[in-house]
Amino acid sequence: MSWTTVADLLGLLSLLGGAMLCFAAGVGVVRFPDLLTRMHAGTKPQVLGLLLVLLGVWLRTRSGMDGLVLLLVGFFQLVTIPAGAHMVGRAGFRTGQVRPADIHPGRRERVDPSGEEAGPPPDDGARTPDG
Amino acid sequence: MRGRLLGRQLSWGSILWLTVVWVVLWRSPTLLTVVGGVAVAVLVLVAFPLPRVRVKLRLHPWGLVVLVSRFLWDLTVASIHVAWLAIAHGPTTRGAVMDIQLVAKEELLQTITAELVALVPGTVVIDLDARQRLLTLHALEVENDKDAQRVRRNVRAQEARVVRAFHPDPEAVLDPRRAREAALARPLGERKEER
Repeated sequence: MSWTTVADLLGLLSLLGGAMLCFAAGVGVVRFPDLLTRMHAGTKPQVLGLLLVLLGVWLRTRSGMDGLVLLLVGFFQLVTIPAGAHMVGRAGFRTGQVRPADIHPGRRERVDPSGEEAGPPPDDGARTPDG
Repeated sequence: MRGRLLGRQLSWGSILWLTVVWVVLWRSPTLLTVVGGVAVAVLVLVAFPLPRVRVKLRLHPWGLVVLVSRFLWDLTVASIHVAWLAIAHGPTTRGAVMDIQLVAKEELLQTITAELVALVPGTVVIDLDARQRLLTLHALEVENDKDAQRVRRNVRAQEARVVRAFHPDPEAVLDPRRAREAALARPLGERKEER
């Protein structure tokens, strides 16, 4: 078995793994119950899925310049995916798409750098969705 | 290093970076693409100026290696976990919104922390209040206090790795005793301001 065969094989495995993760992301978007859990499915397995697909494509083409282009694609995806997810998530949170029951009821912890007792914070406990 | 054009400050680093992107997109490092890339870079920087980021960072190579390798590991494990949650038989999972207090004051470090937390599956960042250092996020599979503590610990650890990789003096932030002393050394009015 030559190196090209090994690279081809690894590339195909990466492509397959990436495709499966993207598929799982799609299934998650359909099956998860509300907006924010869907955001998890829509943005996350896809990150690794996309990186695997890019790796797979590079292992199949094995050209330096293509590799740099793929690197750029991966870099910009990693930088922009959180921004997009954040915008949708915050919009949903502020417009009340999140049920109050889904907000962690525990007391919000505070780390006070001055070391003195902070006292009860103004919005102690559960946050309201329009907070 | 900075040059000036039309009253705007242009950083050579940005020009270099944009030129490299341009050449790579053309896939051919010829004279024409390089010159064109510089022209486009200058045009973009003059037309769309960005606010200057006051950066006071120092790169710790070992800290960066730890940060990147741990991030890739977390990404892999958590991606497979969330993918499994999506396709597993039975009722699907629920999550909770929670607030987490960060320790780093620097906005850039907070941004990097939030980006990495957002990329690792299981947590979606909803909001970041830079002045209060408050990160609001949605976490999967949080049903009781113990789960919430687990998520808090993970985010704290992630931030500690970011601080160890980029902060000029990591222990000043991470050591609670020194952080407290630094806070006490400042005048009281400033402290109230920060909260």
